[in-house]
Amino acid sequence: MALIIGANYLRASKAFLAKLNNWRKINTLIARSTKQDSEHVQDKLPARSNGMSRLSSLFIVCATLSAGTGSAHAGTCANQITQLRQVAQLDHQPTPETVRQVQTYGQLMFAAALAEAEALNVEGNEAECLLAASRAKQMRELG
Amino acid sequence: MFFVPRSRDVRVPHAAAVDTQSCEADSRLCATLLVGKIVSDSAAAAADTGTSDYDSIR
Repeated sequence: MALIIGANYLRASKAFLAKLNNWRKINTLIARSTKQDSEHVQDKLPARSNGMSRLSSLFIVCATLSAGTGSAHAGTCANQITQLRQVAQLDHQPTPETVRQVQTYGQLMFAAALAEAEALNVEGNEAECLLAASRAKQMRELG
Repeated sequence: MFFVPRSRDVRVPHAAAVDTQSCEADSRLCATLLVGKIVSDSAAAAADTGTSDYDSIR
């Protein structure tokens, strides 16, 4: 059982790292394209266009930052717990409070992961909470 | 050696025995109890090694 729980933690961690790597790739691409744009403009266009390029670069940075802020807010553990509970209610999936209605191990594991996520959220452990919420999501989708 | 359900669809025996009052009062205790239920079921399954619903892990 410890091996299974450990494997689930590992899977959730890998998924998180994969998402982090994707963001890094996107940021690198933006940085490269901005740099190439800037060099290209400096070589061939007048100073006014150079100013426009800086303005567009600034716009890209602002857009990226605002998008990042939005997704970070949407991805907080408390929000994920709320979403999981709403979906569970729609699917008539047992939650920790209604665990007496559990019929399968998929449902039991979902309820356990959700309860763990909520406990970690109360303790303020956001990273572990997100992992537990991710496990709950996996259990709900697979179970 | 532990026994875990081969499929998530395996039905939970004695589900009604899970303490719902603790789950309403304390998330941490609830999570511990629910995981404990899975482990205790696994231990019970270990006693019956002939069951086909569980995989064994050494």
